[in-house]
Amino acid sequence: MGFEPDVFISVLQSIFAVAPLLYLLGGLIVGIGIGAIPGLTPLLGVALLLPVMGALPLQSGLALLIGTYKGATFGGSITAIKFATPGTAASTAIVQDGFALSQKGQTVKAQKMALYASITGDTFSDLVLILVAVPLGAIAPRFGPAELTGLFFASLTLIIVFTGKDPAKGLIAAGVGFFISMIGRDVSTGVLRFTFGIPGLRAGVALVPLLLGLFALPEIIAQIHASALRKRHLEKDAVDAPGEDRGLSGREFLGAWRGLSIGSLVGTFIGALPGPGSTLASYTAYALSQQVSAKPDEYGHGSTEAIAASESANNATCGSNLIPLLTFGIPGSAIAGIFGAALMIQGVPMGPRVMTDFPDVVYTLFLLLLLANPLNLVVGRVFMGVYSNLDKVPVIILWPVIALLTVIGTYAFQSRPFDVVILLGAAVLGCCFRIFNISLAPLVLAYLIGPLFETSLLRALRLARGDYLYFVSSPIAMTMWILSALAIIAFIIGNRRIRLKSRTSAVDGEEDAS
Amino acid sequence: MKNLSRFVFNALLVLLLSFVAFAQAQDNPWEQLDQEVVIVAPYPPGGSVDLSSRTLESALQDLGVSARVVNRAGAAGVEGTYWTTEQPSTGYTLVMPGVPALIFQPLVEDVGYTLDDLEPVAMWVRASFGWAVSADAPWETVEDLLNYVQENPGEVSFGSTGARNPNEWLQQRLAEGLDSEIVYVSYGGGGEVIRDLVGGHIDVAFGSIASQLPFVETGELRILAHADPFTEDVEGVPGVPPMRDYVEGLVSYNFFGLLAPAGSPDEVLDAISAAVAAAAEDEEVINTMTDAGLTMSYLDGDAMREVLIEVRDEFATPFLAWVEEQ
Repeated sequence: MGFEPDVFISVLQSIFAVAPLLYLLGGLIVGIGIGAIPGLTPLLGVALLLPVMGALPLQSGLALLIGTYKGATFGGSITAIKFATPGTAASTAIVQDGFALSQKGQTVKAQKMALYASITGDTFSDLVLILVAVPLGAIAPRFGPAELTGLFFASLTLIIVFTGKDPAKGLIAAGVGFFISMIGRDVSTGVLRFTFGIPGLRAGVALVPLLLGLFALPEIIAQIHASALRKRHLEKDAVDAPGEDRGLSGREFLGAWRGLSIGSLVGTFIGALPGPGSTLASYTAYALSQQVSAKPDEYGHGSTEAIAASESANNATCGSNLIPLLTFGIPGSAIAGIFGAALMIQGVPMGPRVMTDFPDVVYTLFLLLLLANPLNLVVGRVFMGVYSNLDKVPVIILWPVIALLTVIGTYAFQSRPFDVVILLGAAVLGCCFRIFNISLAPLVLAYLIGPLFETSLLRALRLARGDYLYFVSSPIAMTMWILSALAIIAFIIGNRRIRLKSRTSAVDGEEDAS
Repeated sequence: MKNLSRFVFNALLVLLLSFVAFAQAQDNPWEQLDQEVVIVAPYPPGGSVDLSSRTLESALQDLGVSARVVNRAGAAGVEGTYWTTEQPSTGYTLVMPGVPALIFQPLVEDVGYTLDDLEPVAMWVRASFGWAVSADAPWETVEDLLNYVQENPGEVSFGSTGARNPNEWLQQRLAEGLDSEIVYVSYGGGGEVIRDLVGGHIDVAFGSIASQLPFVETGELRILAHADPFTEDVEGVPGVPPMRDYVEGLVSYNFFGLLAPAGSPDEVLDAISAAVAAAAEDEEVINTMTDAGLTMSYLDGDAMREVLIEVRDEFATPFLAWVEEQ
């Protein structure tokens, strides 16, 4: 696509009008609200607004969709930090750190970090989309079954190897995640697996009820338990003001540069791939940034850098998510699919030629994506204040209300009553993981990657026709397998070092049990 | 501006229509409809069924019929269809499932409903399917491809959506008809199939012509044959022959229409069917559907029932036998 200045200027004029900006703002407000409510996903928000698109002019309609999408992607972090109840699946990655900060009375700090990181990642991703979408898009079809198998294997290895202190517990969690992902109809053969004759399990275990069950309900139970204890023992304790919440200083924000840059890069890359999505992006960024962090020990106990990495990765999927759609005409995710449908309603047929045939539409989309970021910052700040005031609600009302909202949100997700059963089952599992102090991250990742890995592996096996060299038949595939091997080697070496260290520290005295 | 004027125009049209309705009451059968028509789209927003149902929704509204689309996605259309069969038979709750959810899935397993639990109301549009190869594939015509498959069993890979479903069955019957073998690769969605075809990972893609056409225009793909049972020439791809001319019975049905829970009152269903027939004549509707690669194919309830029963009876036994074999 050559740059067309005339078209660009006319698009610029049409966007900086009152209506598109108002719709953008409206979308952000609605989006952050939707994102913050557990169970209401960005996808749901965007899908609900699709019918409205037909009645609006192109600029306003796109502004509304983009605002909702970006707002909802950020909004999940608000409740994840404040109430350990992730509003979106992707924000589960920051529950531990965000809530830990919140418990220390640093809610504003955590939320500001999440907001600024989201905006940073998002802007980076939008710029990538605008500047290098075309070369990046050309790479997508080269990822065939063999390459994808390698890619998913590499990310699985990286994550299992690098998350959590105890590799054995990590493997257990990953195993459980794999098992859950296998429930339901197998895409490759159409066979039902592990449904135990229960019709509700045929459609498998959906992401939203699973994550809310694993993260939100156990936290709510723990909170109610804790506040009951507090009442009995202390009457009035110091939880309200343990240290001042001065928010986030500029130095603290810039100090998280490692997390921010890893998050932005990982999010942009994963967002451009078909399939994985924002949840995978935020978890991968979390795991990777912990590896390069100067303070890896803080991770899981209220690290602002961890929040920076996950949240920038989460929002960095927003822009790059549209790369496959715009360069190839094929959406890489359900949300990109809705953007495609929205453009089709406006008479813009999606296909590989959309960038050449409709430069005005593409410029409109680009400019709105960029413009949404500063507005998201403003709206996000306002919303943070609103949600922070929920503090004043008494605990005995607040937590039950959140529990109720979680259940309602789970049902609203796809109007399936059985999802609530899954929610409750997952909550029992989540409580067990809490009791045995097992990290949930490998479970979530194995659950997300498992089916992707399996389908590409089975596809590759069919295409290999018995020749296993097919798996390393391209440079991309080869790189992925080498990467996995390196990760395993690095892990073995690192593990030995840790064991040596723990032996010496055991001599020094009692080890800190978290 | 264009949209504003369209809105004003539509508003005036509705106003005008309601005046006309007032003046000559009961002239159009759908004017007796006194409740909101709810169309259940049993798939997530954004797909062909969603687009078809929303186009119908707005066309019905233009006719003065109050209509609303509800997405009830799950289990590839089965959940929403089942939900509809459980609703009271007022005639005002209708569902728009694809053929797999409507006919094939209930035959393979107990999904809680069969074709007899639903009353066909009106057929709306159909999608045509075809076989495409990459532009730099050695096969110029369908004969080239079929000859190659015949001479090199087990070498050519065919990709399509789903496994143990009508799509895979069709490809295996193609191989059987040629007395040869193919490698079938299943995918979750049509987009993935095309991506792997363009990337050179599979040889042949079977899918909706609508999804293949844009890549034919950019010169990346070539469509060799189509599977539409209703026509010789599919719109948009003139000259592409039907596969059934080469291998007997190789056709694929996918059409979207409205069905109501069995036992719904005929007057209501007839009135809705008449409104759908009128909507199918709308110029703007035809354009939207053609752009999406769908062909208008209105049939009334009885004619639709005949097609459904034909598909079920002609394909049920052999398909079930094949699934059993797998």
